[in-house]
Amino acid sequence: MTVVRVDEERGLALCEDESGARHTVETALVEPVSSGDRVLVHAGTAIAALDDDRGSTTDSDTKLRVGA
Amino acid sequence: MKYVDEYRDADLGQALSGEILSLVEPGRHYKFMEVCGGHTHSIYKYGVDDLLPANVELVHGPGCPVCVIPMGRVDDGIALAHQEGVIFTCFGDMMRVPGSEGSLLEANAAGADIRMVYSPLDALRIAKQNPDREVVFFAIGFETTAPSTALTLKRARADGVRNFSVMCSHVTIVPPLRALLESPDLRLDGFVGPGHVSTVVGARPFEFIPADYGKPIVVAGFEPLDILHAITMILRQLNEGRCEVENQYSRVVPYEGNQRALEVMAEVFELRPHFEWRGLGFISHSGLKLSEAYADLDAEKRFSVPGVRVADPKACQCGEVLKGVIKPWECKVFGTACTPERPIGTCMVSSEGACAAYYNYGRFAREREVV
Repeated sequence: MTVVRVDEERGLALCEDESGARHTVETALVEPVSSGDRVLVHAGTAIAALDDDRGSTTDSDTKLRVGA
Repeated sequence: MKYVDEYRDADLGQALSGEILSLVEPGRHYKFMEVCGGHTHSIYKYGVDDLLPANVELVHGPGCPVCVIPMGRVDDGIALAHQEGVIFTCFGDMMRVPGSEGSLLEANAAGADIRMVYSPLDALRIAKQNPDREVVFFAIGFETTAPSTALTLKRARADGVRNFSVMCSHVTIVPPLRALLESPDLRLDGFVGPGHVSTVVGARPFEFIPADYGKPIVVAGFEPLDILHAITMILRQLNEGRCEVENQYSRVVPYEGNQRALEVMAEVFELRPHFEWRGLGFISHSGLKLSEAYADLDAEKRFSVPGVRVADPKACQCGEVLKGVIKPWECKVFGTACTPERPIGTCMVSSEGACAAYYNYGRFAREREVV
């Protein structure tokens, strides 16, 4: 999902999924997040932030292939 | 959409398919288990299995959170839901899982106040809105969903919500994998490792698979190219005589997992001595319960639950499906008496269940086209 708005005080964010639906998401496990970030959400909690730069030979190999 | 479209490119899929063909040894049969139900669905949704040579077989593992919940546990939930003043909340999939005398959905129709929620946070919100009722959340899932329950319990404690409790049926991924590897009926050549569980626990907990059992495992993403790429990585390990944990999904999965999630889980949960899995029986240290510090929010302590063990229906072979011993179409009731509309077993209920994947994507036939 993509972060739309962050409520830092309550540790929540409004996020939008692939279909455009919006959900309230718990962000304590991936803070800090800001609007526009992509996060992986399970059961209303963001458990990972998608990281394009995370160094890895294997996924960068997939990325190289897909031109991401 | 970034991170999605590029991982579904058909030409690249064909190229990876060709690469897999060049990596397999003719005459050798390869059997790989994809642990996670999310992978099973991607495989059939995108026809990934049709891009594999005939001698590469994918078997489906126990990583479907709804599928592994035993019938007795559903009965406990229904008994709790019928108690005076209780609002029982659970995920949508769980509502249709048959217990020995019907599902939560049927209990709802019979008058129990059962509500579907999208997250435990929603259940907590219902508790705040209904201070004169007791709100119970039926928590299920692997380490992917357990942090969400843990954070909600911390929030309930911080906000002083007293009418909220959790019936904890969370499970952990490593013990069933060890149980499968110990089982003599299954000879596997490698694993496609669970992507989303690994975002929380990391790839490190799977090091026992190469170290103790000599099998490669590649933690993989859920797009078709992720899965095809993971299969090439397993084949390369086999061809090069290597055997290790590799992480194909590092755009999401850090090798060490999410430390904050692990810390919050360690604070809120502790391991049960044993937990019953559908089809796999009792597995030691495989389930979570609330820790002493959160015992007052434990629904099983606040209310009396029957806790009776119920045998699976005779006709249903979910156990064998979950262990990867049989394919869904080999079950006697698959697609006839057991369908997503009227499921007998859990694997036909859940959106991550192998039987539902086969049924929904039309995999009734035994034969596969050979590429």
